[in-house]
Amino acid sequence: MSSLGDLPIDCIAAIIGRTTPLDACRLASVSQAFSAAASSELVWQGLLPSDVRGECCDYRDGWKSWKELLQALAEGIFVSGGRQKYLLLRRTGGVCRILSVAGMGVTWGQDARFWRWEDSRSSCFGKVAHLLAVCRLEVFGKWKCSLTPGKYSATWRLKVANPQFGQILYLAWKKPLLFRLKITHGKVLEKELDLMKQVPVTGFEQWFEFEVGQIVVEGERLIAQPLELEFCIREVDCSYWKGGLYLDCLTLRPTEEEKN
Amino acid sequence: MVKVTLKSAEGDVFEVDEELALESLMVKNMIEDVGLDSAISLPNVSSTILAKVIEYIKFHMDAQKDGSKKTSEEIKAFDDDFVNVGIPTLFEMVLASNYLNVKSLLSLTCNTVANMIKTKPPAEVKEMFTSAKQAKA
Repeated sequence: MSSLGDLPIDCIAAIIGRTTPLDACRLASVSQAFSAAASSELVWQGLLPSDVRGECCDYRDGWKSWKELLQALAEGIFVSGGRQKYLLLRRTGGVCRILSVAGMGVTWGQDARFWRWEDSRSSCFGKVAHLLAVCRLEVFGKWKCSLTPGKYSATWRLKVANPQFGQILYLAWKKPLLFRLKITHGKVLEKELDLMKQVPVTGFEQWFEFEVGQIVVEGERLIAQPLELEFCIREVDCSYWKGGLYLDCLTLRPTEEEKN
Repeated sequence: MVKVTLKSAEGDVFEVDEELALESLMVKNMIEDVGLDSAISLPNVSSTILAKVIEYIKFHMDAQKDGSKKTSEEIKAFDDDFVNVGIPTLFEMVLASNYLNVKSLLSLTCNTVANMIKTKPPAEVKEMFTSAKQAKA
């Protein structure tokens, strides 16, 4: 009794359920017992991160099985009326949480002279906020989510219009953008992004990700902690106009494997 | 303190506190069904493994008691050391904790095996476990 194939199927299922979705698919080809175990519901339920399990249960009815739900999660599931998205990372089994700019507060956001809401196929949500011109740039919000303990990288997805395309008048980012992030009872993360200097490296008209910092969620392993994030982007020097910026979303991406 | 007598596959007798024995849901059910008068025989668990399981439960019960000075690092170090055994022994512990229904130990041992086979190609996983089997045979 020492081959993994000799273990009863529920033990194999318990083991596979502690790997990652990618491993589960791969391990199915090890042996017949593995294949049987890997297709069991127990495995896929176990692979679903505990912090989204509760929330996804509400959507459980839409899927025939946990496996199907996980497959959908790997493509991304929209929640909160389409303003948030959960995306499963197949390789680590962690789940990214993505908040659309549509779920944030944008100063002057409803005034079409300043901001335009545009459809974009390259967006995570299909709709992005296009800053035409403002003198006071402010994007802010609070985000309630529950996360399992671990490290998460908080990243904005943005794009800068090519100044050659006629927006040079407004693309006058004389001062850097200030990104702030505060987690409940946590310290404040702050980072600056100078669009004039840092963006040409990634190129204009290209989406790029800007990491504000890493947040650490503490607590007992695998027990999701409810928390609230406060975030903002500011550049409020009103002495000149700025524009030509696109905002897509804010992402919390688990940087360490959640299951160990 | 009430004692419970457990009998391993080889027939060795282990006398443990009832509190400790109840950590195994399987033993708990047995006690509820047949009472404490006779020894509880566990034909699927060898003496070595049963001794290890008892050691594990005992450590964690002590660690959870009020006034225990054990830090979470010490507990983690114990767990790491506990599963730092050959693959055959590890599998026997998976089996035993599954059979005895000791959730925390099952979780620890399954996690260990899972971490061993993560990101490995199937052929390698297969070989890893067949060679472990031959080593034992």
